[in-house]
Amino acid sequence: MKRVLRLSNYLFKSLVRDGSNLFWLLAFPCILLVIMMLIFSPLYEPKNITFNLTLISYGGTFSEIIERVFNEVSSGENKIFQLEKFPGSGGNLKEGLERLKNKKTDLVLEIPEDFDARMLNWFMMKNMGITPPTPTINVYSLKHQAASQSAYVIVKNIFQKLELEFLKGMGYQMEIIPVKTEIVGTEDTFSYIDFIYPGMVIFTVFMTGLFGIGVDMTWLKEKGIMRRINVTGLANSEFIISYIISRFYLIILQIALITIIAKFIFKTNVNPFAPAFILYTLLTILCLSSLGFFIAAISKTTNSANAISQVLNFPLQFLGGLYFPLINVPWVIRWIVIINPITYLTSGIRDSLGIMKSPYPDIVTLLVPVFWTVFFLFFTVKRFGKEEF
Amino acid sequence: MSNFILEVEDLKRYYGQVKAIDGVNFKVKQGSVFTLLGPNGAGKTTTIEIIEGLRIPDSGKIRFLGKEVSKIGREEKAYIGVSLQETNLIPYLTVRETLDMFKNIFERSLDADEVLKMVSLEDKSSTYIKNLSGGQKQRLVIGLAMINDPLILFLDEPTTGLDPQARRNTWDILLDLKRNGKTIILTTHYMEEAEILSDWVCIMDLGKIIKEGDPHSLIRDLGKESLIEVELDVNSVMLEELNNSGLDPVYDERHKRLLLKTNDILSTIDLLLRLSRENALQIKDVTIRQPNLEDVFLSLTGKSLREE
Amino acid sequence: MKVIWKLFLSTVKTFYRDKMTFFFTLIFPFTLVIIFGFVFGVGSSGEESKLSVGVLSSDNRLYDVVNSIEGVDARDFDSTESIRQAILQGKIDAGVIYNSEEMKLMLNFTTMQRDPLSRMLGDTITDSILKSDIKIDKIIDLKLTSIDPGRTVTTDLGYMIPGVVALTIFNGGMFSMISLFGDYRKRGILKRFGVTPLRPYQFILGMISGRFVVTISSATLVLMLSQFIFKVNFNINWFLYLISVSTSILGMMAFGILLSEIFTEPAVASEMGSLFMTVMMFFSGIYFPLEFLPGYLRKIGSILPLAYVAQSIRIATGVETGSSIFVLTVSLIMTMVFSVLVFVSGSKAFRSD
Repeated sequence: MKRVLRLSNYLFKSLVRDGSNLFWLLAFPCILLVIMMLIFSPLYEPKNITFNLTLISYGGTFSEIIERVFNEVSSGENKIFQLEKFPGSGGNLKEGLERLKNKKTDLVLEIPEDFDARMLNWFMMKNMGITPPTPTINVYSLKHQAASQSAYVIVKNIFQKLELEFLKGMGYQMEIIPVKTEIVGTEDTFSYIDFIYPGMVIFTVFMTGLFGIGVDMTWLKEKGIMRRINVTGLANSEFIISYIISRFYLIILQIALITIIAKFIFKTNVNPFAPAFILYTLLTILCLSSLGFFIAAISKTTNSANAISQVLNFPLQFLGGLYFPLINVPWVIRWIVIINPITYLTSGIRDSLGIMKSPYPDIVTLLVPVFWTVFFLFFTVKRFGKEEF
Repeated sequence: MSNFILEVEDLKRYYGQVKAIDGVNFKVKQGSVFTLLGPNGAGKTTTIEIIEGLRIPDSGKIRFLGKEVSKIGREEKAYIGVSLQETNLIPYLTVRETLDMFKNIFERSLDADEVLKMVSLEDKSSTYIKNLSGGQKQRLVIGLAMINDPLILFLDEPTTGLDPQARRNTWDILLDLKRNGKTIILTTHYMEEAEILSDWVCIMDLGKIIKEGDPHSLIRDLGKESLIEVELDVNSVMLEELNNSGLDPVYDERHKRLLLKTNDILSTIDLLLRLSRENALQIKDVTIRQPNLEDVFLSLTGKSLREE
Repeated sequence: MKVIWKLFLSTVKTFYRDKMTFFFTLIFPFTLVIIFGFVFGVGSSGEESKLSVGVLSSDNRLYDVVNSIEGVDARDFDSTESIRQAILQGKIDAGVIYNSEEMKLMLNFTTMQRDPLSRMLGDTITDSILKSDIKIDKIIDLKLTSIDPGRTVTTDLGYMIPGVVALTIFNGGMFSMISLFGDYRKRGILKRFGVTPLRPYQFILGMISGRFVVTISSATLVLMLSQFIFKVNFNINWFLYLISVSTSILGMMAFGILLSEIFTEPAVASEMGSLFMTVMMFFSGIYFPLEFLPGYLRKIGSILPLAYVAQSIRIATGVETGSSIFVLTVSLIMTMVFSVLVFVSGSKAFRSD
């Protein structure tokens, strides 16, 4: 056992001295975590976002009330809109729409000329007990632009509140109903880092599996280094155990780095020492390392191992729910999601941290990765268990 | 115990229809340098890989240190040192670390410094493998084979691909080992290497050993003492006269080279000069040399050892 | 001329053998189109899809209120638990439970991720409940008109694909130059040509033109294949398309040459290339909206060349309005950067140091 451990030290040393490994297996996952945080965390806690709003109004009592409301949400520290007002005359709408198309503004709101008259009409008819025709305000948004769509949702919300105010003014009793929102399966303290941290843990182990084991082991095989070790009388199993231990050191280092960044820079709430999380991480290591050995077992040359790893890399990553959960996907790619071990590892590891409940039954979340591990190991043992190389 | 450290009897290994080795027998004396000589594909590597324990024979007997074994297993591997045909090492380890890594695998081992000195790599001990030259790498590979202080050293084409200087250096190391009484099993297709290093040579072709003996007696068995190589455009009249004089002329038409075997160099040269004058043929070059293993191989198989 | 042609042919051939470039130029962008296409956009005709909201079947009134909200589809369930399960498994987007004092909104994670403002759904529903209490549907009708930014009506995916084409160009241009200049220099191939009577410009022209043609074909292949698979409507202005794609390839090649000049070890240059690719992919607004990002990050996006290339190609394919002046300016800058860099690097390509 002692020589196995010492051999693993040498294998680990050679692994981390290679600049390419340092970049892809240690630096890159950390950089990716930072990028993901920068891009996605603002989506979860939208704050300090200002949309550009163009308001075209012809004036009049009701129009001015609306203008005043929009003025209010467009001023001060936490303003929602950057408001531009134009009087309602012939060319202004056309110009506003042109500005919208050129992304100079996110949303155009036009209060039509007859709006005031129609509002008055509405109140009068309502008082007489007749169902009145509703006055219209025109909103123009731009397709494919998240900002434009979001601005519309906010404007819609403002109008709802405004309507309630009008109704209160008419003497109706309105008690605002409090709303409690829950993102199903997540903790109350949920933030994006809690979601992405376990995903990155799996990502980094995955990279080690594909490239640090799959490609690297094939290289050792192709270059005859395994043969050279074999003639010393060291059993293949002993060599592979040393090899696994050396990769285990690396994975520990990787996870430690990711955890430190998540904990101290992005202040995740999760407890990386939770026993369930540690157990699930071990399952992840087992499953994705054996995937690496499987790749090494089926590839003859380093080039083909690299090709297999590259082909598996992105689909398994994106369709494993590391970055976004995949539940409602068409059948064309659903089967990849279903057979992908990463799908279950991701769900399970998030469940184990108490961030999100796994959408699959516990037994499935656990057994699918175990099944894959057994499958991969079976092939690996079959191939490397042979006495000749 | 006999003084044979390794004996193999009727070793066979087939790959489908291909008979890689087909009934190989030999005995290796303790403290000798034993060489398997033959062209590429003769079965040298398969043979040596069986006695290194990398392959399992289909049939045949192996006696290792006087004990009969079915294959070379883990126990036997502790007593052998191996340099494979083309050895790559882990690029991001230093020379010293590589030696230590292998040292750690064995229970019995030499000191890394001692081995470094043996292969004169003392000043390279902290260099990464990826920065070594071809010759340095080869010396390290031999050093690695020595690390467990083996009873038998297997060297599969130890100088293939090296430049003449690096080849000389490697030979010096091997001659040192020989002086110290190491048993060495060598494969090579360089006859010069075999002649300089070996005590016993087995000539292999098509999976069989076709002749064996010590290099000098093998050459002596050719029967003639000297060879004369002449470069000229020979004609049939001249060839016939040479043949009648008992000189066994062999003419290589492609290279316009004539090979004569003789025990009397001076009179043969006289005859050559006379015949060429009579036939108005111009001699461009004459070489007089001793026969070598190449000639032995040529006379046995009618083929050249070299790949050209 | 014949020499250049020979070099051209050999670089075209080696492209498919140069795995890294081949992968990042063709396989990678296309995999992304397929994955993102199917995950986020297939079948949507550009209309907003409806949110499905689970309601307890015992609460008939809430069911009607929810169903009356624009863009929302109500579904009934037996119990709170079954609503929760359906949300967790992604069968519905949200669920509401109302007990006349408090409203509980349960939201699916993916839904919130796709549309962070779906959190406001709770407010919308309570407002509607209040209004339905007094039997008023609404006072003001907001009439939404969604305007297509380009000459053609297309889906979100269709809007994204030109960005993927831009990424193809970026990868093809950059990685091919890293491999040509970095790898060839390292392996002494450049030196080998240096001892022939070949002039540097012939060599560079031959090498670059081969990769150029390959990259332009890959980019167009990605465009055509995605158009075919996802039935995307493009209205391609071929003049602008070819101008912007070809000059962008040159510009991206210049970037690759620059990287291989700075990082002389080809492996390092190639790693830096991948790093830049990752940054560009995320910060150029191709796949993910940048509008929610803090200002300084949006500024990063606005200095990345990929953002401009993507916009040029969107204009050329008709999914975004913009003047041809913009496209031509981007093209001009790309060409200029390329010329300067090739002139500087090319003259010392054969020199060995």
